[in-house]
Amino acid sequence: MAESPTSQALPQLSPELLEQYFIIRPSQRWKEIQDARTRLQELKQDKPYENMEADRDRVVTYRDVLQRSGRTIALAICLAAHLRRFSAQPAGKFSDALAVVSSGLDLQSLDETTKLTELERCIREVVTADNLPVLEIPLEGGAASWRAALEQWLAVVNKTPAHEMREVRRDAWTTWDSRLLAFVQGRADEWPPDINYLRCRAEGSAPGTILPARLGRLTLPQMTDALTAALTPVSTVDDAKECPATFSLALLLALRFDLVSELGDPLDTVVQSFLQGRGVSRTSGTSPSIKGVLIIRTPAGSRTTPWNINPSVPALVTTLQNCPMLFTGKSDLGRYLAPRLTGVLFEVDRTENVRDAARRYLNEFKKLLERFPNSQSIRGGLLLARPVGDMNALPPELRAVAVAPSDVAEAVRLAFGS
Amino acid sequence: LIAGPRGSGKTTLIDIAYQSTLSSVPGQRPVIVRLHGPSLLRGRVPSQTPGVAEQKAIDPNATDLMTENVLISLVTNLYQTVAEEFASAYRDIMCPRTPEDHERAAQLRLALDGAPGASTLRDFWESADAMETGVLFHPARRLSMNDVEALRKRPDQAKLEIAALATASEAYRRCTGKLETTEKDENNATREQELKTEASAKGKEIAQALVSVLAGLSVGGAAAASGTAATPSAVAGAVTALLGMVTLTYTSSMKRQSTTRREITFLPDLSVTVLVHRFPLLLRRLRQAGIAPIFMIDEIDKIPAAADSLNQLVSNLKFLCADTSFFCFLTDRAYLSDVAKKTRDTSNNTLLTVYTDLMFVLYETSSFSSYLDKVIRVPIIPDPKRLNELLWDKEALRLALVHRSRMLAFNLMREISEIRLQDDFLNVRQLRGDPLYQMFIVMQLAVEVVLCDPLVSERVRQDPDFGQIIYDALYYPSRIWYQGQEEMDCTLEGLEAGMTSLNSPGALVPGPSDRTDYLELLKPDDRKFLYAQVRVLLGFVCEPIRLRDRVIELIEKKQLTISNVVADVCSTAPILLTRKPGIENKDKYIWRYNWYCIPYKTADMGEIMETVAGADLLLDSMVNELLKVFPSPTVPDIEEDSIPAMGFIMDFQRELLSLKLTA
Repeated sequence: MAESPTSQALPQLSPELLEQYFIIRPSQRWKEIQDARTRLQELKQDKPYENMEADRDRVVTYRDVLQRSGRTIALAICLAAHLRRFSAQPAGKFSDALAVVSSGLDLQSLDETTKLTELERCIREVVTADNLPVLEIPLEGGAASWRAALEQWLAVVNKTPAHEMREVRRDAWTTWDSRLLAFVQGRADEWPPDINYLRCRAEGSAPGTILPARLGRLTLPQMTDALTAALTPVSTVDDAKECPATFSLALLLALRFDLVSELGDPLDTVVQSFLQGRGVSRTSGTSPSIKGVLIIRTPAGSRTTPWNINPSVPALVTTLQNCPMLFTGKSDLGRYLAPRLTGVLFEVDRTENVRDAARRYLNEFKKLLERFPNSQSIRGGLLLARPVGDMNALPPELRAVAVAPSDVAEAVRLAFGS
Repeated sequence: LIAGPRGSGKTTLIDIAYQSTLSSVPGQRPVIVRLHGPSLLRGRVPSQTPGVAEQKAIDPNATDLMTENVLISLVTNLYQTVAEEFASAYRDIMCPRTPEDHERAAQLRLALDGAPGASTLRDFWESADAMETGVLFHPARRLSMNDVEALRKRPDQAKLEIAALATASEAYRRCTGKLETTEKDENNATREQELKTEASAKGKEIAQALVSVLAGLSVGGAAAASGTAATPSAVAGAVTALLGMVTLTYTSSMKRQSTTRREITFLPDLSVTVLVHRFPLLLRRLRQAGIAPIFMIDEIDKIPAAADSLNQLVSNLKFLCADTSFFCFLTDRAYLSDVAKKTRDTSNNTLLTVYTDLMFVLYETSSFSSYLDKVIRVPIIPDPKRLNELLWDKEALRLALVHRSRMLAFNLMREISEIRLQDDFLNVRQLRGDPLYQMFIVMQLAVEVVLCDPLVSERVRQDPDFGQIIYDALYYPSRIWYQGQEEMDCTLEGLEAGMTSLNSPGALVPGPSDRTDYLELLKPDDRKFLYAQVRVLLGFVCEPIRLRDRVIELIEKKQLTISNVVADVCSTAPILLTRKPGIENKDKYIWRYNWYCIPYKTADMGEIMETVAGADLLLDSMVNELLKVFPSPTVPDIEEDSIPAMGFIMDFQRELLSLKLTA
């Protein structure tokens, strides 16, 4: 019987696909298992070979992995089946949804138990059910009963009502506020990726793509990039790309800045309502008396890439290209940042001549200072990969130098001595 | 204080430092005085005289006894080192000369064994024509311009050398000489004067005397004629006559003898007080002669309960260690931790002033890799494909060797020597395809992946002491594997117990330990951190494919510098480790192969086929069932929902169209 065009467009689920999206994580790839199985066929012709035990181990181990992962596989398929409805891809929606499950939940970083727990949590958000069905693969009798149970559950998932995306995005943003504030309070684990985040991720809208929902390993440059993205005006009325002002406020707190004053419109108008009832204050991130730093990093190969947020050093790490968004975006943070910054550090690419870079950055520094009212106290400096031979060769305005700092606190200490 | 694990190259470190400073201080020759810590602190100094030991044994003051032992040991070893330095210098001067001179050089070497005195030394120096320049910086030896310049300011170099060596010799004799030995220093000053005259009065002699008088008078007359006063002239003549008469006629004798005799009997005093004062003098004289001793006290970690003895010792000898000499104490990590803790806890700790520098020798995997990269070279061959193969093999070998060494330098050297052929080629074949090498490559890649974690690398960088413990933790599974234990307990408690057992001083040295437990100083969070890293590591070893993915990710991020081809070894390596089945066995593992790649459990063909057939059933079934899964709603499902909705919309449109809008 010839397949219909519809069935041709659907993905063929296979162990390889499950491996690709880290839904199962065997010690050996499916292809290698197939090769091992082929070699083991030789035994039927009474032809022993040296690695037959190793091949047996591979096959048995893979079988064990699959058998133990029956429930994980089934739930991942169900979740992807739900998310495919939100996919913006014109074709390959199910594969796209599987990718969203994998990346959105960061399956690669999870151990098997946590992975299953996360999938169950998300499915419970899709389908209100007290008890999820039995989806394990029995040790004996093949996987037919497993597929039957899966398809029943798939029918339930596919029957769920359609969602209004505006509401999905709104709810996702609300969760982001809570997630970021929990991050500020050191409770980031309390807000793992939620179903609305995954739906937005499948849709490709801002709440699902602006930051990974697991904030534990989030770096300073990633968080700053999110802030500049959130402050970037959306050219047309595009709700999918629009970030609410509260998200920017939460990011500022997460970056360890305070929300005491000088925020300007529209942030100032929402700050009160944003903080109300959330158990956080305007200074939850840090103390307003602690001054921070603005680091202009190189677009590629930056030393700052792995830097984490330091709770005692408010900091922004952005590129020269994205930096203007802090002043000319939805809100002008110049007046806000001026009293909160010790200085500005420009990262010099390791391949660039330091003197040339300093000359170039001097102009940028002067332009930046124009953004800050009463900017006399803001110092300039360079972030270097190695010491500079003659400090006098640098412009006096950029002689605060941090050489090869390992984190933001060290950079501030080396450059500005505090 | 130089600390580091056994075999980490602490001694080599000092040797390299010594070599690099050998000619950097003009007019000074550093010499390394090697001292065996256990003998120094625990044992008795070998003595030629039983009486010395007996005397010490009854000494009620144990601290004094140990200090005395140490001083004796210092002096003995210092003399022997210095004597060897002089003998070598002497040989350098004499060897280019005649055979007799060669023999003279050998004689000096033997003479120095007997701790000669200054006069003997002087004799040797004279025969080498070194009474001006000395032997250490003799022009016949290779000297730098700076040495020559420095020696211009020391014109008495030979005397300084003889004085220094004689002082050392004398101190050595005190330490190794018999207790009964006496030194007699006899000083006889005898002055004897003899004045002997004879007198006789015989007739003939009188007649001769008269002639003499006349002669005397004639002398007087001549004197008068020459203008001299008459009376004195006459007197002179008379005196001449009288003298002639006395000489000839009078004999008398007078003897006076004066003798002073002083005899000193010197009994060598080996008490602490004397040596303590003698030792700084010896050091000063050696320095004056251009000898700069570096005392290297090794193997301290092999002494059970060393910390208290060492602390007591260095406190007593502080004025030697800190003020006049350069001492290197080589010990293990535990003692360093103790010292660091004591200096943290007590602001005015004596140890602070004794150990002016605390150094810790920590090898990172990158150090071993750099070394191997230098010593293993791939020949330049025109075939690029073959060249690439060799370069990949080199990477694979590097990983395997680093892991087989378990981060111990001497293990690494042994591993290299085992595969090194006489022509300096390495005897390795099928590196990436050999399951034996594959296992080690997987293990080492897993370690390096964990070390790439910024949290881990940062901790290693900031705190080398803790960094060593991280390395110990990451190589703990390999040590268990190496020991041939099939099962491994890596629960938090099991890991801590195992690491403590493997790394505590008692593991190699029997006897009670005074040191804190291996992990005792660690905070609970740090212990959990170690446990978490080991878990990550073992997760990768159990799942080599995941390890490969992670390695490739790190390669792309430029955090690991190996080839993807080498990372692919993980795909074909045997599964070395599995988790022990059962929930109750969390964090317990089973090694499938031993260190030599022999499976712990062998199977026959029939068993293999039976097992695989069982697995095949489920695999085939699963693959088929997966293909049948249809994740999208079915057409009837869609129709069930959409047809009523479409009907409603059409009805609504129709009603809208039929709506009559009236003004």
